[in-house]
Amino acid sequence: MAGWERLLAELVESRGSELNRYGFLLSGDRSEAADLVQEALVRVFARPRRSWELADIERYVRRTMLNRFLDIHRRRQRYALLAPRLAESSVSTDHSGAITERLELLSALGSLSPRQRACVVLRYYEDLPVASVADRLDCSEGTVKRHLSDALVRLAAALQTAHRDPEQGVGA
Amino acid sequence: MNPEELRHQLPVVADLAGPAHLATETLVREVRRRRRTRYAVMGTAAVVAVVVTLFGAARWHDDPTRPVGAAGSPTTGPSGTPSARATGGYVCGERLDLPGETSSRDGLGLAVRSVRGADSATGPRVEVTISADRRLTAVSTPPQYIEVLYLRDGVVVGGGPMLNRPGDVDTPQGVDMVGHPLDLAPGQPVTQQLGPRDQLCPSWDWPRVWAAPGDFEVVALLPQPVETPATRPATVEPRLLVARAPFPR
Repeated sequence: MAGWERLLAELVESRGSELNRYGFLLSGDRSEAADLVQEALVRVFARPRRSWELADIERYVRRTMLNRFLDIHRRRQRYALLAPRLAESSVSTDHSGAITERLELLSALGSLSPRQRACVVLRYYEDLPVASVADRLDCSEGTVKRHLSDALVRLAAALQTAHRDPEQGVGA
Repeated sequence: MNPEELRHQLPVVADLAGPAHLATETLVREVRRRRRTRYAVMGTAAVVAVVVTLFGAARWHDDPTRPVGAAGSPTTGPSGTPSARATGGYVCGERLDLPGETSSRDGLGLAVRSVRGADSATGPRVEVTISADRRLTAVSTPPQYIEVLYLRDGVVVGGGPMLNRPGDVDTPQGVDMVGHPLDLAPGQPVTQQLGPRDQLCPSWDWPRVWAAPGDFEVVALLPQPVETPATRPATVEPRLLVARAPFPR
């Protein structure tokens, strides 16, 4: 077994679940999260590298997932102008208390633009400083702060609406 | 909703992702497939580069007007053709004329990052950077095969890896054009350490060069990296990126 194969197996084994969670927060969809993780792993390992450190590779994978997420949604936005929505997310709804709250937030995250969502995940889930978020997204720190501010307003509005009218459902 | 609430709740939302279903065997197979494809593309680019180099070298070799002189003495005859230059017919004592010389083309750039002297008995250590104005993958030349020439008054007095002795117009020049992948992005130039280039023409030695470094110049010559997948058809004439820098004083 080649060195990169061992490393790939080790990465999947030790960090696969966390990468999947990261992908899910970005995309809000289980199948899309799985696709993000798998494609990023394949892309990163398909390129020969001089050094193969697990931490470095995970960082490349996360960066690749983020770039792919943004690319997909950039294309999807164009397509959405031309085509009706064909399918709903695969996340099922469950109206028991705690689950409902999670789904409400998941649904509220869905109201954000892809870049706002990426900012929220990187800043508040990955706990990256604003400067690092700006670097990952190739934009200025001011832009990141604006995205975060807008995102918090949107999330608050979306969650308030959900609480006001819980009968509306919270499908992601 | 405030940031602290979000920090607290996002991990809980992430739990909805469920278990990761990642089949390592499937991933390994797909990685192998893409690597094969990648190497095939790079191999094709390398073969094209070799063919172009040989074609150009043959043309240069057949050019009776090419100038040749003694090391360190400028020739006064007509200069070599662009194709001769572009393919690397580098002879001691020859003036290096590079019509249309440029350090950037098609969004790709070459620059000499540093020229450092190690000691008075050896040549300088040269670093170059390769940059792009967009994110791309390209097949380039391995650092050890990037041509470096030392000039005095525009005349070749040393360098390598391709360098013929004064008057030697018969020995063909070429290097193994093994593909060297580069991942480039705007604002993130890739630095290449070119390794030692200690060869000097017969009438020179390093103590003499280092005695008057201001008289000398370093020139790096790189066949323009080939973007993969190709964005334009391959040209028969290889195109060089050329970067110059003075010797360190």
